[in-house]
Amino acid sequence: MSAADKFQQAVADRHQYAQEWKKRTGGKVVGYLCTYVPEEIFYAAGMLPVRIIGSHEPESVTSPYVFGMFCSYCRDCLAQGLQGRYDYLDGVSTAHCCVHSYQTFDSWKRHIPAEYFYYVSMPQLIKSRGAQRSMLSEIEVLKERVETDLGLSISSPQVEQAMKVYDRNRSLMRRVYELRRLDNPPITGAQCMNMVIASQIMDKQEHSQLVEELLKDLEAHSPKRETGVRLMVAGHTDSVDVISVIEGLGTTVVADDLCFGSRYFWNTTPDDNDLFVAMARRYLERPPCPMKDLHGVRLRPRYLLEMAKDFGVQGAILIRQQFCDPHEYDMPAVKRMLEENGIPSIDLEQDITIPLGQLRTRVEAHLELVQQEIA
Amino acid sequence: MAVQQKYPTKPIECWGKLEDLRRRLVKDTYSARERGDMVVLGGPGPLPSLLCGLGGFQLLSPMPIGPDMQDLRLLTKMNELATTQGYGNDCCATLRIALGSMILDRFGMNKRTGEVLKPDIHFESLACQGQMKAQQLYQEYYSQLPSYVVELPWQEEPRQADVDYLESQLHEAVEWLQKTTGREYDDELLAEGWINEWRSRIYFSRIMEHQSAIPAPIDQKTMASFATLMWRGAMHLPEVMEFYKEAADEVAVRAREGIAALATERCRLFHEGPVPWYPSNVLRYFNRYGAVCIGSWLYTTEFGNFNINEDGSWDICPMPEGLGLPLKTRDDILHSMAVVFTAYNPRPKLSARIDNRVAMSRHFKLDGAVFALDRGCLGNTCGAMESIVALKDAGIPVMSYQGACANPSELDQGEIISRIDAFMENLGLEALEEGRPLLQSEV
Ligand code: SF4
Ligand code: SF4
Repeated sequence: MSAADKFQQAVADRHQYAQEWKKRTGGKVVGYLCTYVPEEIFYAAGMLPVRIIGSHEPESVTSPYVFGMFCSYCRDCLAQGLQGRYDYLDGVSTAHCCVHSYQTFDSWKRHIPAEYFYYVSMPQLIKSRGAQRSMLSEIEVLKERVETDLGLSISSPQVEQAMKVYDRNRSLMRRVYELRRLDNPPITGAQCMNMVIASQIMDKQEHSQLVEELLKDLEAHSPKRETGVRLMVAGHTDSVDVISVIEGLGTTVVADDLCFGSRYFWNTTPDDNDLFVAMARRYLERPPCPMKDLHGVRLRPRYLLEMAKDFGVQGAILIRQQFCDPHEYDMPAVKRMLEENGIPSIDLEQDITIPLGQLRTRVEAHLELVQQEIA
Repeated sequence: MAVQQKYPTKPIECWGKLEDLRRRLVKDTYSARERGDMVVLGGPGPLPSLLCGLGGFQLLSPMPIGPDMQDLRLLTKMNELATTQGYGNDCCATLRIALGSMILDRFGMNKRTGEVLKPDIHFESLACQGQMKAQQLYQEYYSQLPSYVVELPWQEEPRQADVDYLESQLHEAVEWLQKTTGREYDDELLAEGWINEWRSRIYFSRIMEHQSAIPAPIDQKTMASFATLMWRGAMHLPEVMEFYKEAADEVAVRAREGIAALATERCRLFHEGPVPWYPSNVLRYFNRYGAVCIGSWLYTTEFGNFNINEDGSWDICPMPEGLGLPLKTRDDILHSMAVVFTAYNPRPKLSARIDNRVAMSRHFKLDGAVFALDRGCLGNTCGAMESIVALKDAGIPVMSYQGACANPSELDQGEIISRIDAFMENLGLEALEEGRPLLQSEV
């Protein structure tokens, strides 16, 4: 089985993976919702942090607890918890992002038992002068809480080691992403997304080994498919199927700005004499999601334009979850910026279940526009 | 139908003063330029007093208050315009109305003269994600309007780090205000404004506290009218602080003497979630059953500073002289702001929202609760469903209805009326008088 296939399988069998890991190591597993949670702390404590993701199956269990107009991703995640699919979690954490994820975390805490819950009150104004101190203090409290609530100890060398493991994983994934700049990228967007999601659910060292294998595979074999139209996907989706459908229409997704994609691992930890300060800075300095891009003029439209140029993108798909207002606030500005620079863009909205036929039709129509622009 | 009057009532005596103040605030806003006052977009959030150090300023609130809110057709049109710009009905209601109004070039319009007032800067202190994102749009609309937002931290547990974070932001904000406006910053004016704002918010908390009396001395609609001065961000003004003092004293007397908001009170309700901002009778429709809406967690946490103990009793933030903090220098003042808004502000705590509501239902002797599940205000709908579950578990009957506080076309009158009627029937109450339609004008 190729490394790419192994990632795909890990994503499909994610619950089994975590349960087996638990059996194998005797360690504890913590679930998290938002990628601003400083996972290295859990890893340093010998835990397996796993990102909670939806199943895209219809559900009716969340409606007593969450208003129907909360984001479909969050409702889907909570449904997984309520249906017992995450019963193996010893704890749940998230970082302050949007009210939707806050709601999911709170409902999880109320209705699904676990030993440990922690809400990381991460600052929103990440560029403000006090943000670093606030984030630093959150990391320290998180460490204390893991130690007291779960009876685990975390030493500085363990933290340092965890940070190294994480940074290595980030750098390796970045190397894979760099290959997408090529005229004929050796990897598809769907394969990349599987790799990133697998990184969010697997042990990082094991995952890094697979990424190294993947890099070797990619160097050894030239791509067998036509690249077609080069696209960027930005916003929020946790569905690899969506990317596969898009790529089934004669395109390759060569760049993304997703927290199930590049946003998760793009930057490594900066140098700093203080470990925790370095960790705080890494989270504050990563490419922002809309809820962290609040300081004055928006940063994301320009950032996305630069990314599109860097990766030779010809068209963009801006995707968001139904009722996700944070992304909705940014999309008109992002769309404007891309289109003013010759990159046609389309907005797509994703519900819990994804009618792939409809998606195909909309993307097809958009591709006609992109083709005209290229011609 | 014979209506049984159980309690004495009398008109609110400070009403005239409220009306005068409201009129004056509008007048002052539109004559800002004549006095050389700066015009600041912002205001419904706390801490407008940070602006006081700059000297004369007027606030142009992005909150939809004013005559446009009376025109239901216009409101619907503003909503539609926001949708065409890509901001759908799950986006913040305030943003959608402000944007619609900007597109129509009515934002900041003096309805008497037709003159449009443009802001010099945008400045707010916020906890809500909708408003925080909205400020970027205001900047874009007014092409690079200088803008600054202070984040009121969301905290699940009280932490020193939050006090420090807020305090550091406040210092940065003052520096930004000085640099951007080129004005001198006067710490004495800051102190004066902040102490007025602090007092105003404590008087508002006291007003709410008196609502635990049976019969309730005022109803939620009156409280909403009192709050309009807060919506305008005017609590730093000495005359507004004086008004709240007088209102709190009057409500205290009414509570002591058993003067009721509703003569037929026999059922007490909290109406949670944003009440329609356009003219509507939702809050008073219940009165025909002898039921009275007396307040909400949402309202009081927006305008007051207090904590709610487990038994529902209130721990109101002390007045400036009672908290034991020095208030002499700028550092002192900004520190006290950070303490007041982290130690006595249950609003940005989701778990507290739910547990507080249960505790308050006992303290305020509620017979039921009504939840407006607002499609245009996710900030306030957060925690609503969990609160409903928790209240029902605590034996408090609950009804809910859907709508959108700023979009009258999303309010289905017939449906809401039949839901209210059914809820009242379930509570064993028969109508004492005729009901009125919910909307005061046609959509
Ligand atoms: S940012 Fe959007 S997609 Fe992500 S959790 Fe919040 S609402 Fe959902
Ligand atoms: S509280 Fe509601 S209306 Fe107000 S800013 Fe937030 S989302 Fe908008």
